[in-house]
Amino acid sequence: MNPIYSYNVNYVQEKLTPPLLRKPIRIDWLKTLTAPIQLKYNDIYGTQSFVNSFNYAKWSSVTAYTAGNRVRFGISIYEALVANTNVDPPSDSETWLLIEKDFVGIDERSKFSSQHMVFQYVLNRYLNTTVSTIPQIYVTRNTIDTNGFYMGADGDGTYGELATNTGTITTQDDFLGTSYSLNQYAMTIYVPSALFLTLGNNTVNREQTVRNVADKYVLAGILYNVLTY
Amino acid sequence: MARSVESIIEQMDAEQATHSTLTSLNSPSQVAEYTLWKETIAAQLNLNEQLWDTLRDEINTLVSNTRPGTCAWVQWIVLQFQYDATNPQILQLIDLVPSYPTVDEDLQIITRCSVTTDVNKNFLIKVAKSDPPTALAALEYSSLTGYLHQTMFDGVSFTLVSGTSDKLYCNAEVFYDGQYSASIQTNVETAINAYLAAIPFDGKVKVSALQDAIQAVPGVTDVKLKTVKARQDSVVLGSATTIYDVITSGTNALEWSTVAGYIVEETTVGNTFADTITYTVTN
Repeated sequence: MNPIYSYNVNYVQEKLTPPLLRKPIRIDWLKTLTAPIQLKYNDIYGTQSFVNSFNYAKWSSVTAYTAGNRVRFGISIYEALVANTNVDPPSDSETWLLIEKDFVGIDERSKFSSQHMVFQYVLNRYLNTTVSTIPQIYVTRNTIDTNGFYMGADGDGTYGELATNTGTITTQDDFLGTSYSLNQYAMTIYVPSALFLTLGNNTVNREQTVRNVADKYVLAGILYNVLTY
Repeated sequence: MARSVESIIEQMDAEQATHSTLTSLNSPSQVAEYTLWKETIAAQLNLNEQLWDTLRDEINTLVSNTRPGTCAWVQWIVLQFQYDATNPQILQLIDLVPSYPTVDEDLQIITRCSVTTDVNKNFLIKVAKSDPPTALAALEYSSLTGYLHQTMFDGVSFTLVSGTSDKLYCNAEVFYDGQYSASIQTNVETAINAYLAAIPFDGKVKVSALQDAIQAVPGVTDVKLKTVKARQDSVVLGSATTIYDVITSGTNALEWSTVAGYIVEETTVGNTFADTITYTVTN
């Protein structure tokens, strides 16, 4: 961080007060009034901040929180306003204050993209609490079947339809067998099964959690699927 | 996010408690000078924190929109499109960035835009202009198409859609308190139209939300939906999709994904809300 942004409320109050007025009571009073500025500064530029990422533990339904405790819920950071246990942070703004929508700092986020190495890092950064050098979530590039098999949808050859094995065009299943598959996904995101189970309360929501991250970086026009391993 | 004035004062109180030099500032008076100082400064800091929130949101949006090639970026590019019927707006390479020589927000006619991946190497762009939204005119559409050809990446194609609004047909019986006779029909129709207008661009009409919107009207005691249909503008009402029918409710989708991106009430004669929603007094 550029030191030009450094701000220490104690230092500033002493230096900005005229020497003849630098008495403890005046300095302490100014510190009292400006203490909130230091907290805001820390949230924006500090070691855990909007710029440099937050690294608080995930919220737990069994932990007793006291006022001032901070947690990560989803990808957001919250601070407890009052003591509480088992209160979902997004559900009660009287109990929890949203500190930051995205725990990953803007310095880091500004470099995120769908470049292969970066994209795998991004997925693991958001969805996995421990990012190892060997990604636990990984991405493969796939060959797309661009030259699909065409045949008449109703069997008489009148209409050209791209072959699928969904069963909706029964004549194709009869001809190709149900094992025939036509890959339409340019890439696949593989998520460890154990991790996938922690991403939501059902399969649809879990996949959506992955897509909520991926969709910010995948190029428009690129289809992908999410599988577990 | 910005803390409340009360939270900021609490932090000042906590800080004050750490200084033995300030123990004499303990007047219980609500108008003690030191209390007023705290409140004045806290109110200003609260405003300052709100400004920080706005700035951070703008930075987040900027970072998101400037990531080339993503759906969010494409949407941002579309919203920058300029159109002038008499003074053609031509893109130029300025510092190797396709840009207009003069950015004029008054000429940025696109007010709604959604971008979704359609099939591989193709994405679907839905747009509308004005507020409430309407379809682009033919010249505006062709101008936007040309603009997109210049700004999108080679090798990835797109489909641009700017259609006339979808239409919603609603046959229902509304039961209401007789005291509201004079206004009930107007208020119900206004509530349904407000619900349709509030659906996010390229969003879905949901039967449950439609029912909630009607029931929320003052005076309405119950609503019995009979048939709800939706269609894109080019489809005739007779071929509209039934999203709810009281007879076959178990087999209906109960929602409609807008084709044009937005939807209004059915406009064909005899099928507007005024024609198809009946009102019955319950006392």
